[in-house]
Amino acid sequence: MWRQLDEFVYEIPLGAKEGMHVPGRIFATESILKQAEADKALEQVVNVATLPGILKYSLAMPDIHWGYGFPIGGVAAFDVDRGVITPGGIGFDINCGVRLLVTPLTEDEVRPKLSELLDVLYREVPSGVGSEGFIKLSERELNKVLEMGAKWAVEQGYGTDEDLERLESQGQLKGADASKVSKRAKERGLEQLGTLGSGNHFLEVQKVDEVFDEKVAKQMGIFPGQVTVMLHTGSRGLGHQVATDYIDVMLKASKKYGIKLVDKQLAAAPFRSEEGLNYWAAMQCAANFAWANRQVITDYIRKAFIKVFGNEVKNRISVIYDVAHNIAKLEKHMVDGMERELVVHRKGATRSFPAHHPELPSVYENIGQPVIIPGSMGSSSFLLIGLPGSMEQSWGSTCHGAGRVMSRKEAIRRGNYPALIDSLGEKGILVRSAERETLLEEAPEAYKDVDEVVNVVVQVGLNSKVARMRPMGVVKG
Amino acid sequence: MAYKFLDHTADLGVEVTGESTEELLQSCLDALREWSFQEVGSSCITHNVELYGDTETELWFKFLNEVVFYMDKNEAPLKVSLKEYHLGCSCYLRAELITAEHSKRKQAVKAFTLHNFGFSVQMIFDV
Repeated sequence: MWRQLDEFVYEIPLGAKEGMHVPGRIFATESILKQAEADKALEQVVNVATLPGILKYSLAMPDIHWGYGFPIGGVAAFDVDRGVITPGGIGFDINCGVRLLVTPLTEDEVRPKLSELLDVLYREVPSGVGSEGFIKLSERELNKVLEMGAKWAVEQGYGTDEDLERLESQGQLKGADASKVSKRAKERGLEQLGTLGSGNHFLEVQKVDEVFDEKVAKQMGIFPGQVTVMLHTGSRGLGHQVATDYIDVMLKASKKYGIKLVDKQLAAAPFRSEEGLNYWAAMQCAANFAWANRQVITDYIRKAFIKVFGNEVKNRISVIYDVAHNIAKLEKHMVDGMERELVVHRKGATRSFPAHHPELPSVYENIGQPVIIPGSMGSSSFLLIGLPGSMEQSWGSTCHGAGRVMSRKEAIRRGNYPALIDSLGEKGILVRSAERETLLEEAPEAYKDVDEVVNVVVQVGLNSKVARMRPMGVVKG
Repeated sequence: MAYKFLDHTADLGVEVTGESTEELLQSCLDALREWSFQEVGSSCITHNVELYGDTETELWFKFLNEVVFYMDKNEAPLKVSLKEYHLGCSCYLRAELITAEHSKRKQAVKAFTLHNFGFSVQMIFDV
């Protein structure tokens, strides 16, 4: 089905399945590719290639695995006039994403108080299944959150304008229209702002273990031994409901517009259609909710650090960057020598713009966009930067994490809770978690080796490495 | 048990069996309750559910996402009684859904998806 084009580039040729408009292209090692083939993710790459208006390739990053509609790690760009928008290319957790914060503290300073810090973080950041936040919104106020995103949070005192500058899209997609979000979705979001959630969402206290690019790291304010905090969460029940509501709309739209679906999960509407534009506006609301959520949690994290380490850390915990990895964006890209506006879908994939891209904040203008790649629980995470290769090969995109290899059920079946806690403890990692099952689901064995995934995107020229972080403590829902 | 969990890399697969639509839907509820809840509350709520769709698949999609919505409010799904179920050019479902409020969840289900969704029938012919 596939052929190798380069050491880490594989192609599924046009014609592998009837109806493909473009070839599939996967950035992977051979072992990653074979895993993807075994769990049907390659079939999903092919299915995406059949969607109307897709340009150049149906892409998959090296963290590829079986998803809903698109594979996780899937990227596709569509012509705005002839192409479609599909919830299956974005996912249920709209704008699930990652934020990296840096502190002025070192591992030696934090280690003696790590247990206390985790207790405070666990208390201050609501987490777990069904958790409710400390913020109770009226529907009117929620509408503002949906349209303003992280800016709403900063206006309420949760952070600073400087934070906003360091978020993808400044934490606000301006095409959001709260009237396109259902009452039910809003009901799910009313009490969930400022909550971590459960599943693979986490908050991790880390230390900078290795710096690969001293110059860039220094410019970002990162140094070896420094303590960082990584936050992974999304749009919670509100985003899930937006996706559910619009999948139903898209199924009808697919029929209405004669879009041939090889998989119902790719239900889509022409981007410029009424259905497409309504979803586009609602999806942006959910994305904004997620950015506001991560902004509020950032404030809770800062307060937790002040409680444990005193006023010395006040105003000294900075955002490095915040990336979305389940989203569609309107972006300008070169297609056959011409600049065109495209609808880029990233499902379990991260934007990765190079230096001098107009969408980058001035602080990263000469460096490139920071890309944050979390590993599995207990393993390393990476800070990368986007390179011009990502614009040339992947619509300015890269991987989003390690990627699962084992089902959740299998991970729970094989897992041993005390052994897992012991093994993390041996690595000096403390854990606070609401649920045993969640922790077992997220055991390191359930994921690919993040080093192998990152190595592929670096070798292919999508990114270069800035630093590697190792976990010291994990808070999980 | 009229359900079994299937392996899926990122999500949760379930296969249910039953001799009627009501039994199949009940098996879905039982599977969701086992996967998601560690404690079921003692106070029950009855929801009257009325759904329309173009296809039977759409009715299931809407019904199971209705269940997920209540689960997100920490209501464990207990029982479904199907009152009306019409298939045709336009499909219709009316049911009573009983949930237990203040239940304690252990794992979240974000949504019911159409991924690999389908019906199969088993039969024996006398030969």
